[in-house]
Amino acid sequence: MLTNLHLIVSSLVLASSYALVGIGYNLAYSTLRVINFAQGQIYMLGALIFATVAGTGVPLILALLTGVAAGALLGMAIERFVITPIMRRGFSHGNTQAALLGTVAAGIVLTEVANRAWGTKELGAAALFGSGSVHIGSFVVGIDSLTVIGGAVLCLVAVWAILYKTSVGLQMRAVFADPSVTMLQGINFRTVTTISFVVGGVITALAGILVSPLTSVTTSSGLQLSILGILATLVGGLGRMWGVVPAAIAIGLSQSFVSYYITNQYADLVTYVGIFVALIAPYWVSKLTGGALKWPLRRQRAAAAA
Amino acid sequence: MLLGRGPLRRALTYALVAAVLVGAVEAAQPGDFQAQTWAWVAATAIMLFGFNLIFGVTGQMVFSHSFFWGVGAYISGVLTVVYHWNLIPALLVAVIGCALASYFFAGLLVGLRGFALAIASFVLPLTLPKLTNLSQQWTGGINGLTGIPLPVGSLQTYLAICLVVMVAGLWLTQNLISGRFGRAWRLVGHNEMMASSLGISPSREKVVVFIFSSSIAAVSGALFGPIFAFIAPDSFDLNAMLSILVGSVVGGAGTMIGGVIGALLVVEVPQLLVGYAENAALIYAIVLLVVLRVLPKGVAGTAVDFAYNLGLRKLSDVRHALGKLRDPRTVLRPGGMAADQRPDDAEAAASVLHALAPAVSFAPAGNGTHVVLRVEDVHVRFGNLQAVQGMSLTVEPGGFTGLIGPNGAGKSTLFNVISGFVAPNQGRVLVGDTDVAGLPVPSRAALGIARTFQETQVVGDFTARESVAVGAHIHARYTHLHALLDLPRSRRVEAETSAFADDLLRSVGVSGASWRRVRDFPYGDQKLVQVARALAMRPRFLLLDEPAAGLNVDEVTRLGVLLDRVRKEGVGILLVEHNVPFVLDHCDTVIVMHHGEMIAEGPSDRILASEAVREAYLGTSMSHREATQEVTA
Repeated sequence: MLTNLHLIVSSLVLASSYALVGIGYNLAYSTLRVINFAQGQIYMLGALIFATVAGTGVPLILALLTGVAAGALLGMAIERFVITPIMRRGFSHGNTQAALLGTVAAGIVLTEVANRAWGTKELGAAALFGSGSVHIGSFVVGIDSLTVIGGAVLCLVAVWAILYKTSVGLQMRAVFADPSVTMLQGINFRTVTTISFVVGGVITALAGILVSPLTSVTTSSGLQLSILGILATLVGGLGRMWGVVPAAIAIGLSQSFVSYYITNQYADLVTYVGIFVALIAPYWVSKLTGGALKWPLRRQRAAAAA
Repeated sequence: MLLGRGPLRRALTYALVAAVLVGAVEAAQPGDFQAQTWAWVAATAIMLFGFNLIFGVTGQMVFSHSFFWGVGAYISGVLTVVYHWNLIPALLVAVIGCALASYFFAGLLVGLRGFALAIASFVLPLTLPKLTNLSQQWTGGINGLTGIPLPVGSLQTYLAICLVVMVAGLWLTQNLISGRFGRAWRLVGHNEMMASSLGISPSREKVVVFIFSSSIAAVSGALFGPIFAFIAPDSFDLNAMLSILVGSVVGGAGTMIGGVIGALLVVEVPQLLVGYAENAALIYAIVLLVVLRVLPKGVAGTAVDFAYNLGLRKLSDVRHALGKLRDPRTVLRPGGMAADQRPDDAEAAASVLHALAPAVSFAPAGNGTHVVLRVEDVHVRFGNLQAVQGMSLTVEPGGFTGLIGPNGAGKSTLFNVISGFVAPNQGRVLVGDTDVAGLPVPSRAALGIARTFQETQVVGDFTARESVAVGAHIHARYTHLHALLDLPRSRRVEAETSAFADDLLRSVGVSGASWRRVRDFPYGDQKLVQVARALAMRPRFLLLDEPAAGLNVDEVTRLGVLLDRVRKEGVGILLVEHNVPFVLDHCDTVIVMHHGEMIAEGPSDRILASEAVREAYLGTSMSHREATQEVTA
């Protein structure tokens, strides 16, 4: 039981990063209908920059701000210099595909640049609120874990507040619903797009910053988070902002429990198979049940597409 | 083109290219390192043929190609190293293995498209290192498989073999995509709905292309192993996939020759750069970013566009020289718009059409039995909205039924029920005695139901001829084998299809040259191309969704003449149209829908007199009655 509780805490830590990266994906997708495959690299660079700046001895808050600023800049740069220009050019089969390729390439450029700056060494940063732990009976939970989970919740609340309590958020939601009608209403589509990429970048970098004291971040974390974050997004329903949260928790739980109880050596393989199954499940569930049973998380997306 | 026209001449030209390459190897006698590099180019080019099929032609974003490349290399490598097989049987087993594996995966992935497909297929290459680890005793695990033997004496001879296989692969894949399969696959990549309405099953075609593409990757993998006598999991990792993408996009993803260009670029060019090895990924990624922005169609695609534009310019010169003589519109321009002049215009149009159009037959394909399309008591509900309520209608062969009604009356929904895009909540659709409930869209198309869509849907770079020929897909009967080997049958059928498409284009009155891309046509012609495409199916029943919307007066006249001819040859037409005079002029039965229900049915004159129809079109019954009372009072 105690082990399971500990496993749940570690799954929630994992889930926090997946959910935040997933929100980043969704913000990008909702405006331009493109998956920004470099999202994981923003996570990685946010964490590495934070850890490096923190390592120089400056106040942690300054390091935090630097990491967040890097995330914002990267989000904006990918939108302005990669996705939007490519989408404006023709391509044999739809510009979203070309833009997806562009973000894959941008992600590799970022990974390679990070490789040259940091090498393969693991960087761990000082935790924001020290490294103590909380004891509840024999159940021990690290303050750093609580920081990650709490921070993730705060971030989600912040995104919610931006979307539902500000006028920019209202414009963003309008663009998500229907870009062309929104443009006709006089809302500047480009500005809203850039803002949502910036918010996505900030959230994603924050995920990296929160997690970095706990699990050391390397330059290869970028790709890993890209894949797991996108899995959470797809399972939760692409474009459904909050669907990623339960999906991320499910993925985190399955990862922790599989690697503890079943296999550690092939935990990755199990994850990949899991991703594969999760992706094909919606189609096969509805196909095998003759359409009677639909993957609940996908229904809205299908309706939106129709 | 240099390659000539006849199939034999084309095959001989490819053989000549292969012979020249072999001769060049003999003459140059490259050193071992050079031979290795060039063989690597050849193997990469072969792999890119496969990738271009699925990614460039069929438009499916799959990241699994490097996985099948690796699986092919490993199957063949293990068989030659561990079991001392000869390369040729090992290669065949690798191809069969990859074909089966890709059939399995394609079957699982078939419901996915777009981003989900990209991500699901992205997972496969990541599993390769784990799989080699699991089978360490054969594959050498993370350390790789060493000592893969050369099947021939020297690297130079092996290079010659690889080059010959590459040219053969180019010939085969080029043959495969230049006929009905290429058209169908490109259409699937652009518009799955339209493809299925023409009898092409998108999921089936995607599975077929996926198997082709993976099998070709297996050939390349099997050839790749002996070049360096060594393969390792990281030869086929995501960086390898990245180089495949770069090669494909830079060379020109939609073409096969682009594979050769791309292979040269990703293998040869980096060798010239200092410090290449450690910077490969970075260079590839930057090149990809630049090419996506500057040259999105790649080298070969851009060359094709250039040649096409050159042709367009020549055409406009010819036009200029001939003046307006060739343009049938100058003949058709009506003097006025008065209703009594319409028959004259129609006659003029008919005579011009007759002069232009050869004797193309619109008679339905198949046997001449009398088959009736019946819609019985169809109900469709979308949530709380009752879109169609108890609609029944019959379309006889040679009958012309018009369906009119205000916007939102449920006309298009009824069309979707008949063609199979929407399942009714209640009611039946019968073709003859066959209940088509549960039949997917492509099968209904095969039963002879053709339809057009409300908005013009221009398919990528399709020329007018291709746009129409793709409609004849189900009648162009030859197999993949015929296409691959460019056998006489496929050539004959293709020639017939092209001629049929050209005839149809002239019959519907499209004025432009049939080699021009549809997107360069004016709007009216684009709509007429759509009608020609549906007619190319030689359907029993033609469902037209607002074909006259956006056409000018001449074009509407021509469309009417055409449709009258089509029905006379035994095709039953169901027409949804807002141009009420057009419907009243041409249809023998008119059905009026309002709020999902039929409010009137009958010949045009009765419809015009119907009170219910006037109410639906002109206003509510209340105001109408009040108005009448005021007048009579």
